[in-house]
Amino acid sequence: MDLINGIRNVFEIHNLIYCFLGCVMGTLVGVLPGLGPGATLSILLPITLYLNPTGAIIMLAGIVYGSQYGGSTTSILVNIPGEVGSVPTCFDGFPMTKKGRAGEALWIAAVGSFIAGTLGAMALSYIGPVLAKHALKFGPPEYTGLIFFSLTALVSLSGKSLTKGIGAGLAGMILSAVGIDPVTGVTRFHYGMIGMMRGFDLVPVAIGLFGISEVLFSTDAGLVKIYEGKLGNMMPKGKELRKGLLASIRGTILGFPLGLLPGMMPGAVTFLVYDIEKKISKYPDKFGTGVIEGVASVEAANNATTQGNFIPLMCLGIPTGTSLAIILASLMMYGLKPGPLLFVENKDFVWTVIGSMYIGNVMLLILNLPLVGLWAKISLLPYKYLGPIILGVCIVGAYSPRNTIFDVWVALGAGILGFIMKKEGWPQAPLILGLILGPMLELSFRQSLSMGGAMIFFTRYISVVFLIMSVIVLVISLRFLKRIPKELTDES
Amino acid sequence: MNRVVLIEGILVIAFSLVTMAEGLRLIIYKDPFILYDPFGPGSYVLVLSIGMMIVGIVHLIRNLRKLPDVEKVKESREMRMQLFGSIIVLVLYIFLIQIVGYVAATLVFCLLEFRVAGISSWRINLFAALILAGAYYVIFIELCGMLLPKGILFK
Repeated sequence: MDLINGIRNVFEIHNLIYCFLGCVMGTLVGVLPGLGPGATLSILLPITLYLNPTGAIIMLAGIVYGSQYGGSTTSILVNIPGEVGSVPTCFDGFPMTKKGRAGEALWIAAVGSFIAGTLGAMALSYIGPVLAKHALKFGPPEYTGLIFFSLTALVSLSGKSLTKGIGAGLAGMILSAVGIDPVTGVTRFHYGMIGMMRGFDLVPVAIGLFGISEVLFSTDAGLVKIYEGKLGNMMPKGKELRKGLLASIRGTILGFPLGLLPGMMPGAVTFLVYDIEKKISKYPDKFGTGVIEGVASVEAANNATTQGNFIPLMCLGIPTGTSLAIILASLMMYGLKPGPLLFVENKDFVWTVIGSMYIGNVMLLILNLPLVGLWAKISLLPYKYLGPIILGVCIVGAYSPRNTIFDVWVALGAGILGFIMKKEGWPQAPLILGLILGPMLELSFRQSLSMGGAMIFFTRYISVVFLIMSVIVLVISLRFLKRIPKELTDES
Repeated sequence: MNRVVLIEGILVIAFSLVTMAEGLRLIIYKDPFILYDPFGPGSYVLVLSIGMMIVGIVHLIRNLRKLPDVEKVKESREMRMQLFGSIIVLVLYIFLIQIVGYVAATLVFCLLEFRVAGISSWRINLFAALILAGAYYVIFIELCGMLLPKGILFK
């Protein structure tokens, strides 16, 4: 019933427009190799403050799952993955293009993505309310356990080095402590500067770390030669269609549960799924030469993982990637506390956002099949035009939330820091995660200690469950990640 | 040891020391009348600083046996100029916003940034800058109603 109400709300004209805009921007971001969803979300974050919370989150979520659709287009047509998760799509997608079967590859990628996206949204609709039943039992010790569990996401966000990831996460938590202490009102790290007394706002730091640094890093992005041949037939026929659809379902079934685990970004999952698909195939030697299952399973897994990532975010407040960390920030800026209580206190909001995922996936299917040629041409937009446009938006975005030039300097500083971090292999996303979770952890931890000392965490069963789960998930994630090439675990 | 790793390690440890000093300051000068907060604002910062210190030391130790800097592929002079050019233009832009206001500063920024980004023709540059600055004006000021700085000269 709640879901039906949610879907009905999405059909209000303004929500439909936001959903459509999110899907268009997501596809655009997916096809542009230099611009990821994380950077786009951070740039748009301050602008969304002028929208209503439901519309804003519908649009931001649309960008996240829409980018997965767009990423496949350039992988198949020009052998350039728009997203890390689309890298394995190149293995069989581009050979299919060379054989004159680009249309079939694009069709199965879009349909596979649609199947996975819709099944993922359905799973979110059922798992969310189950967790919400326990929401009212949450006090400060339970929240401390939950946030501690959220910090296991550091594994997924760390990329090549866990030490560097933990370092960046701690740096984010320290930066979040700048300014007024939430419990006693004492000012920390201000050194006599008024700007420092107000603390670091999340928006300029996110804009700098992802938006400005992305432009600085992409100064050498060049022009690629686009595919100029014919797309061929769009819909595969007979056996090929059956093989493609079955592979899409397999990709969804594998990708979705993996998306729930911290550490399992689409970039990591798609390689794992491609490998499994190859192993179970009757003709593994043909993989890499243009096999439809290679495209279908990977694209379905890619979308299922992305959709699966929304479950820990909405139900527990755990972001499993950069883009979702920014959506988490956006939710908090609207005063919405992600976690089980979200399903109780903001029922309409949650179900409208979930409803928008069903509608968004239909929109994306329509956008990606007939307009595929247009998206392919847009991927040619040179960075010398795109870079200054992005920088201009970043500056306004950093200034607008608090109307202070101090924040613009912070964004520039964060941009230079982000550039250096990226260049030297330090992951940026844990820093943002630390900045978001730091104040929440500090507040709930200190409140818990006031309630009953350190032992309180071991006497409340929900908090104990979260602490045990943190250990289990850490072990599982680390074991899984060992099997995947390190460079693929970094979303950016 | 790799020079970059050494610098990184030193910077992380220095950052942790600054944090530690702040944590200790807050512990030493803690308000004795606050009884509802046994942990206090300083202990949390101190714990984080210790974590940061450990990260710095582990980073240095793990990379102790790393070979000294191998010759990296040098970036082209053009790319480096473009990178530093962009940063300088951004710094200039932020200063200009405070002096001449958002609209005028944005026009100058667009003109310089397009040039730095690689559009060599001043005519195309001016055309692109006018369109972009105009678009920003319409979107941010007219449509979104944002209050952007007018500059000290035009207050």
